[in-house]
Amino acid sequence: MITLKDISISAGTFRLDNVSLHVPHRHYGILMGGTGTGKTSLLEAITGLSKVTSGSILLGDRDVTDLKPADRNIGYVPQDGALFSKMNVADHLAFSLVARGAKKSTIQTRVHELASTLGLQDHLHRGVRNLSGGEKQRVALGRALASKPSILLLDEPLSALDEKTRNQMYHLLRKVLKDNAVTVLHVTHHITDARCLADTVFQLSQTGIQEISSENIATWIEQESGRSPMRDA
Amino acid sequence: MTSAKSTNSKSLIHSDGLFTATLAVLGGTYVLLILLLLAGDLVYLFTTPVTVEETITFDPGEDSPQSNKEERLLESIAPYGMTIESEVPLSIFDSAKPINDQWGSPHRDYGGPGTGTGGQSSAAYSNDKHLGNILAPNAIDDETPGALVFHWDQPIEVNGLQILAGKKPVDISFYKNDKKMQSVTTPAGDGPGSFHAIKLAGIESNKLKLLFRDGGGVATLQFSWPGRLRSSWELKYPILSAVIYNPMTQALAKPEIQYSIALSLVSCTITAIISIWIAVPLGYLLSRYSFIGKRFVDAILDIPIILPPLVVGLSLLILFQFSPITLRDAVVYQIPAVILAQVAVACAFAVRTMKAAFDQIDPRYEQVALTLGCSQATAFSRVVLPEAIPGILTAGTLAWARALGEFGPLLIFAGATRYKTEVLSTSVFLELSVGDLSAAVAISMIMVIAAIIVLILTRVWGTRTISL
Repeated sequence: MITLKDISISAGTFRLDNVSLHVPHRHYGILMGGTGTGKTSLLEAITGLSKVTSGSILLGDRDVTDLKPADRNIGYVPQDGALFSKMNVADHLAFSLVARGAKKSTIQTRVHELASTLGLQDHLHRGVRNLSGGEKQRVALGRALASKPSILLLDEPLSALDEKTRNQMYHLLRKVLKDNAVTVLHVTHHITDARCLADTVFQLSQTGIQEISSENIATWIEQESGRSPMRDA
Repeated sequence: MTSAKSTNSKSLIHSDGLFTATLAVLGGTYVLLILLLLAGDLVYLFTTPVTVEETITFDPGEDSPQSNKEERLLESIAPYGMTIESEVPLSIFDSAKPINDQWGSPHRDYGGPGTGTGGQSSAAYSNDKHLGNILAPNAIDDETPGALVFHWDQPIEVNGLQILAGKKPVDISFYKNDKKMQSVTTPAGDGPGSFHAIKLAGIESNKLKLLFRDGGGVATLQFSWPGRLRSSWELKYPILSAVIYNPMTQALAKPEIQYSIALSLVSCTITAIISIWIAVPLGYLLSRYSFIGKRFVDAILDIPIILPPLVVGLSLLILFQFSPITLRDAVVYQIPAVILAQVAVACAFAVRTMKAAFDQIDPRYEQVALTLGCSQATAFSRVVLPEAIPGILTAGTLAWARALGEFGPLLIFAGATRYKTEVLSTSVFLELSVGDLSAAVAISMIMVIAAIIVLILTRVWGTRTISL
């Protein structure tokens, strides 16, 4: 569950005031909005990378507003993945567990578990520079999921992928949601992402945030994209 | 209309060519200048002969069954491109044990075996020296005239002669390509065994004729020759010889130069390490954080780059006037001063490079690491530092190269003391100040080679944007 209560963000000349949103437990929330509306800033506020000037952030039933990013137990996939160029795939999958001081055996089990879920078994010892776009996103996703976070934040994870890979990723993301106890907030400007993934959609604009709840989502998507939702296809 | 248009476009193409040609000429001139600078040094190094003063004492050792002294003498002077001819057979004798006591040296007035009246203590040209071996145009048991003619392959300058003469003078003539350049005549002696030490001021010649009108011989011959005594294998393999023996290897063989190289390597490496140690945190701070006075700090860091290096040295010297005497004595004009002076300048370059390196690393790396459970310190050490390694290596080599070339501040703050604070740049200065241009160029070439290695390393490690 992700709950934002009247949060305000200001970064340089950019301001976002009194935003509230609520993504229910194990729901897939899609945050949409044009360029410069502050989607990424909002995600950064939830991760704790940027401070909010007012309001509070609740993850589950914890108020994390003043917690450090490391203590929020969030899986974060930034734009373009931001993979560590000097590490191999296995290092990425193990990263958060190593950082949190997990046991070696635990780490190994988890790395193999993630690799098989994400189809990365054959790439574990490859560097990340020469991975394909889809592989990179899967590594970034695996790195975020490794410590079994209850919250997963995705910042345009699919925007650089081609059609076919994108469809594969839709399936994968639904599967991740099904198999893990996570609540997802996914930032995008592609309506197709909402059509294929969303339980709840939030539209961020200059005037504020508009929520399209799960009951109305089918109608909204048909209205916006002219096609029916295909989430469970 | 059509023709006008075509002329127009043609002239445009023409002017484009002119434009690029202008660019090429302006840029190319500088590139050419750089290459010429290096080429000039190399050509100078390998073509300028080292002028060495040689002294020949006509001492080829004892007779052996294979050859006599005279033959061995001719062999030993052959590497100078030198031959001796005489109308009568040459003879070498030890003036301490002469066959004819008239030609012994020193004269018995000075405790030697000599009896010649020309060498006694009352004579004008008394023979008071141990002259060792004497080369004479004939066996000097009589006072007959004879001539010695020395030939050289390339022109030399005769600087001095020690001659044992009879009553009549000795004619000394210099020839260049068989043309008589100059001649000198020794004063007449009082009798046999008179000693003449003749100093000459560089007469270029390739033939020297000594005419002994009344007997006598030559004890030493000093000359400057543009070359180096080569052993027989070197004459056989001239290229290998040039590789092994050149001004650079000669400079490398000098102990003071070896000390200066060692001090340079050690001090530059320490400087590079200290610079990285300062530049990594400072570069990261400037790259990632904004704080009050950041622009001021940024400007301060340009001071060592902008400031004349000499002023940096002077300022260091002044600064240490205020330090406790024990600290001052331990640093100023000592090795720590060398390192401090190098760090003062080199570090600024390392900081600039490190800032550029961190600027190139996406801050999202650390942000992701923070969300993955890292503290800021672990995010820095586990994620940012590995990404920054090429930048660190570039900053280090750059600082190293700066330190190697540092001179002004060193001269003022550390001095130029041999075997103490002499580094390579100081060596160039010291060699130049004693007029040894060839050694100065040789040491410069050692620095050029080091610089080229640094250039290659920074090109390999650095990216396009962070390089020199």
